[in-house]
Formats: sequence, structure tokens, C-alpha cells
Amino acid sequence: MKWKVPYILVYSVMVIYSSFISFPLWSLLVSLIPIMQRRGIVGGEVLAVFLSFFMLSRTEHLYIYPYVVRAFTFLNLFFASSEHLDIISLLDIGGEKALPLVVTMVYFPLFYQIAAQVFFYRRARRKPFSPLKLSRPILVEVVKVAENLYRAYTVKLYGNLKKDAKLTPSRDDLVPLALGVVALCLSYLLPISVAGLS
Amino acid sequence: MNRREVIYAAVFSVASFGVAAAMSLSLSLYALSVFLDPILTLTIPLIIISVGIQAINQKNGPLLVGIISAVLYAIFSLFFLTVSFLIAGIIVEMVSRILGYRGLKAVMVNTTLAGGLVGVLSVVFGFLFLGLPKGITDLAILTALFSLVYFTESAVMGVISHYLGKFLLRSGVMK
Repeated sequence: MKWKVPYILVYSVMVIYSSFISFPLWSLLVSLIPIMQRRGIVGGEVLAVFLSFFMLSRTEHLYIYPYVVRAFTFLNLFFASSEHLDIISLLDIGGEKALPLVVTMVYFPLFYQIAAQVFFYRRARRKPFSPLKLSRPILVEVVKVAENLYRAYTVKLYGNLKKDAKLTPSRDDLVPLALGVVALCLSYLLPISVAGLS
Repeated sequence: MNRREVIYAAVFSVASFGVAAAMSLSLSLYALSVFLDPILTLTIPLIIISVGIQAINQKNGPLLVGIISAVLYAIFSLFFLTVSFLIAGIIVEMVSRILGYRGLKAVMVNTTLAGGLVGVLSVVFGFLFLGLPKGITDLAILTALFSLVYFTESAVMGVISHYLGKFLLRSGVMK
């Protein structure tokens, strides 16, 4: 399921706003829905929320608890957008100006893979963490990619991109809108106010 | 703002984001490390951005890197980093108009400002974004402590990225 960029932004803003209305339990639950496929993250997060409640109530710092839940909500927003982001829809907003960013995002897995391999070899050979040595291979690769991309962009991708904004929501885009509205409505209509919290 | 500048800025911003994600073992843990451990994200990702400014070596380079990073963080819903990258980009742009882009002094000042400002501002905006707890009153002391650590670390990274930039220039990888 791919969501367009404007709808992801609207969804994030709605959930963030709803987390400030009352105790952010509703927004946490709503923000867990789009990342249901990642069972490990959801399970770990629920466990962490419960554990932090018991730890904070033991040490009598329970007034921090709403901020902990809100931080987890923001984390969920990051996971949701990295799971469902449709990067090509950035062209609908930015037109040709957004083209370099969209083209470069294709190289994101390559950079990620190179860096992961470098760090893996460091751990396997038990070398110390030295930024000077570790960043050398990554930097050489990044500079090469930048040069090649500039050449390719000049030779092949040059041209006028017609900007016809396709901002009407598709069926998938209705999901984040509905979720955001649900989060807002729940925290307005059924505000949770626990004594001792907030 | 020509095409070369924009593409270089985009590539180096995306590379910095990707390496920062890879450093925290997996993409799913990246957001956690942004909240918990900005010290780690100020090492190699900062070096990549600094070498990117040296590679662009033109006016508006730092500003473009800042703007593109800000857009990248905005579409991944990390809004407090967006604001801090915008502010840091504008300030580094103004300073680098005077000092230049290559050479030990310029690289050190640029990198120190970029890393320190992004680190401090992300802590401050992160706290503001979460809403300030009533118990924490000494935010100023906390911020001062963090800023000391961030600016010192970024200065060290500035020296390292100067040597890396020199290495890339001499070996002919970077023009």
C-alpha cells in the first residue's frame, strides 16, 4: 500500500495534533495500525510502553509518562512513512525541481548497503571505530555516484517535465486520511484523563 | 543554482541519511537513534555532508544541502530535524560566503557550525516538540552541556573531513 506525500504529511500532522489534545493513548493506538505487518516492532513497542509505565510508577516519576507515549507515537509515524512512502508523488508537488531528489532516492538502498557492509566488516575484523578509515570507501562511492548521476542527468534526463498535479486521492490515500480523522475524533470525543497523569 | 550543485547536494544528503540509517544497525532502529543517540549520528553522516560542501565548492551549496536534507526528513515525518537543518543550512551558507569552502580553516568552521547547530537544535526542538515536562526545569543547563559535547565533536569531525577532502582531491576522485 503506497501513500502519496501530501497525505502522509496530513496524517502525521493530524496524529501529532491529536496527541496534544488529551493523554496520547488514542493516537498511539491509531498510529500502530499502519505498521501492523511489522509484528516485531509492534510487540516490542507495546512491551516497552507497559514496562515504562511500571518503572515510572515505581520510581514516582509518573508525570513523564504522557511524554514517553507521545515519543512512541512519533516513532510510529516515522515507521509508517518509511513503510508506505510513494516517493514519485513528490513530483506532483515540486515538479521538475523535485526530480533530482526523486532520482537520488533510487540510490538510497545502495548507500545503505555499502554502509552496512563496511560496518559489518569492521565488526567481523574487530577493528576500532575510526571515522577517518571507515568513511573513506563510502565517500569514494558517493562521489562517484554523484559524478555519474550528473553526467546521466545532463545527457539523458534533460528535458521539460510537464507538471500536471495528480493530487486527487486514490483508494489507498483514503486510509491515512481516515486514520487521522479517527485519531482526532477519538481524542476530542473520548478524552482520557487519568488522575496523576498529565 | 545550477544543475550540478542540485544533484551533488541531493546525492550527499541522501547518502548521509542512508549511512545514518545503516549505522543504527537497521532502518527500523534509525528513528530511535535520532531520539536517543545524536552523538553517533554526528560522526560519519556529518563527514559526508562536510565533504559534500567541499565537493560542490560553489555559492548556495550549503543552503541546498540544508534544504534537501530538510525535505528528506520532512517526508519521513521527523519534523524537528527539518527545522534544525533549515536553520543550520542558512547560517553555514552565510559564514561560508566569507570563509570559502576548502582549506582547513573554512572546513573546520563550516563543519563545526553545521554539526553543532544541528545537534543542539534537534535536542531543543525535540524537547519543544514533545512538550516540556513539568519536572524538567533545568533545560538551559542540559542544553549547554549538550552543546559543549556537540561542538567539540563536530570540530574533531571537521579536521577529519578536511583530511578526507584533501585525500579525495589528491587521488583525483573529486574535482
